[in-house]
Amino acid sequence: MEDKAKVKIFRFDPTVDKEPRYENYEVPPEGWCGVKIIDTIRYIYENFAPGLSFREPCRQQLCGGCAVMVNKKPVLACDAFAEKEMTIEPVPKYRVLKDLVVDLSGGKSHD
Amino acid sequence: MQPENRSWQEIKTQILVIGSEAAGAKAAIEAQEEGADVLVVTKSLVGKGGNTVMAGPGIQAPLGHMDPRDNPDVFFEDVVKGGAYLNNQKLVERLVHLSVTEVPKMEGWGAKFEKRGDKFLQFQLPGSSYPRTLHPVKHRGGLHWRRAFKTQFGRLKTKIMEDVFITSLLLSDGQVAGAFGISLRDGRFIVFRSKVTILATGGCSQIYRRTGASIDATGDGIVLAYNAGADLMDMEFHQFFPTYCYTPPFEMNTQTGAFRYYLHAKFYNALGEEFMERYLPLTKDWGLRDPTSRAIYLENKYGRGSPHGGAYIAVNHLPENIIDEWIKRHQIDLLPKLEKVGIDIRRHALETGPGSHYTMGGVKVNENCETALPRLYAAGEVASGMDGAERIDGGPAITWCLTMGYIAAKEATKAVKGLNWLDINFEQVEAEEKRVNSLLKQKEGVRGFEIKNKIKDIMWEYCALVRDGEGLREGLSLIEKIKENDLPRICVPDSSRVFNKGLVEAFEATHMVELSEMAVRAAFMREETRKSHYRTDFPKRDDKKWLKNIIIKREEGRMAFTTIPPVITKLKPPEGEETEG
Repeated sequence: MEDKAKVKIFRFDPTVDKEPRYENYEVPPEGWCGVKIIDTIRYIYENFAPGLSFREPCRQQLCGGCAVMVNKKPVLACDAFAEKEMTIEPVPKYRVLKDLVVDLSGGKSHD
Repeated sequence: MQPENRSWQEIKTQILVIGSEAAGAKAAIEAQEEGADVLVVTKSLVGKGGNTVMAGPGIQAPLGHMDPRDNPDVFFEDVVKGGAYLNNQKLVERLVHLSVTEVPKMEGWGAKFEKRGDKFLQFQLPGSSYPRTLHPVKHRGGLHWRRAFKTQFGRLKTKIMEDVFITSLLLSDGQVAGAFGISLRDGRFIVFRSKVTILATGGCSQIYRRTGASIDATGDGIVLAYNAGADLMDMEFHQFFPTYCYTPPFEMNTQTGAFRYYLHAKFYNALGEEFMERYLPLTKDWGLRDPTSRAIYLENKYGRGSPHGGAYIAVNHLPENIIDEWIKRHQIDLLPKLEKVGIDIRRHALETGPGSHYTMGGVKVNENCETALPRLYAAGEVASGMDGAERIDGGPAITWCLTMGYIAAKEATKAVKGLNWLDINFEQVEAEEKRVNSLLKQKEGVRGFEIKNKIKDIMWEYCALVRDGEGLREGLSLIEKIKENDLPRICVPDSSRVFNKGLVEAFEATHMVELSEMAVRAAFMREETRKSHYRTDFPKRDDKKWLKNIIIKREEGRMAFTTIPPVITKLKPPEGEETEG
């Protein structure tokens, strides 16, 4: 029996919040063992944080829309597997629109 | 009268394009080339949302570069026979001819194709009489399409608004006057006023449990058009793709398909039998998508499927150096992912299986891409009539996006010249605002994703590859329960209007419930088997009774079903024709 994972997620709504904050979630095995990071993020949205904003357009490593930083490394959340301890943050250098969602429109594409 | 303190922003454009990928991008670019003022809105991101970026390696055009016998007439015949004569032949006629110019045009726009000298390499896939499928390099069609469109968007400085969810088309005296939406980036309500509107929002493959389609494929545009009073057609026809990656689940699906199409993979069941012959004695492993998917489904029903409900494909009948050469040439990036889970494609089988792939039905259009509603056009998968009862293999989906986008752009540009903006019906705008705000106030109840999950299971169980009257009745009663018990209690726990996923999923779930009811009711009505629609209780095609399209229209808040004869011009179904699958 695996333990719960400790997942820390960057939360920020620039229309309301002055400062970003981090929230901690304890995710049971079904939400993190052997699944992709995007599944863990969705698990947290469905079970603990209904206001969590994130992107997941294709979930097949084709579009690049779900890119996030996990433990300070850039990953596609639909590609990398979830780990027992994760800090999930938006990708740097783009304006944060909300939580893990950044403004990619002016930025480079994933090509 | 316009209220004094209005709570929305008004944005005016000549042409509003809803949906930013292949069909919408093509429509916008061609309309701008004609000098029109265009605005593109998408609920997702350009080049990332929707199915286009996920498209496989193929796109069809009857150029005859590999076989001079191919031409638009042969393409026409393949498409109409493939669709079992339910296609709109006037529309197909225009599309096959336009494909000859509009597909190669993508090269000039920035897509790279496999070529020998000035000839495009063309490959023959199931359902095509001659080699017709062009290949962008690297087996990742989607990447080329998005690069091409982005380049043109940049050149033309196309006006694009991303992260805008349209909740309703706005009507003025029965004509489409624009759309109402919410900008997810800042929570603004927006009234888009347009002279004409082009829907290019794609299909609804997400109504099924297993799908390789984008998470965005929730059929929003089909429901927007339906709610506004447009006719829908062929909603019972959904296509399944047989070789989505089941282990690991749904990885880079465009490439698992490539093993089948380009290395002629063989199918095996859990007993190691090459079982396709049982179902498809003529085509065997080279069958069309739906019958091949159905064969896998049935093997599982008989207990001979793979662990996750699929079947195995393998290419180890080929000498290893052929496989290696092919992999090297096409830079297949799926391989390292398979290696991680211990699969070497040279020696091992890959577990694959069916998933919903494409929506044949949609908004009814004529050969000018005009819908039943004045000032509303539709292009690409959101529309219907191109494919009839089945889209053929080999990549006509992007071909339809390009050709229909082209037609919609030309027709819309012509139309706007004589049109003015219509007045906005403020009662409708207020009603939409109220609808969003009351959703945001409902904190207890059922969430959008929960309803989506229920729908996906119901549709997979009762209205997918194999259907019968009893199952469809059961499916319908379950959907009706959702409508009765869940939809009125749909809730959005978070109150923000900024990137509120729960709000978006509440709308999408509502759309998926409608689309599922349409599919189930139409499938129940169609008492025959025709291509993608397979009824065990009516196993034969019945041209006497069912050489018809089922039309769905909203009348006094209810779904009304009627039938019409398909538009047949030159290709009539021969008496007593029976085909495999």
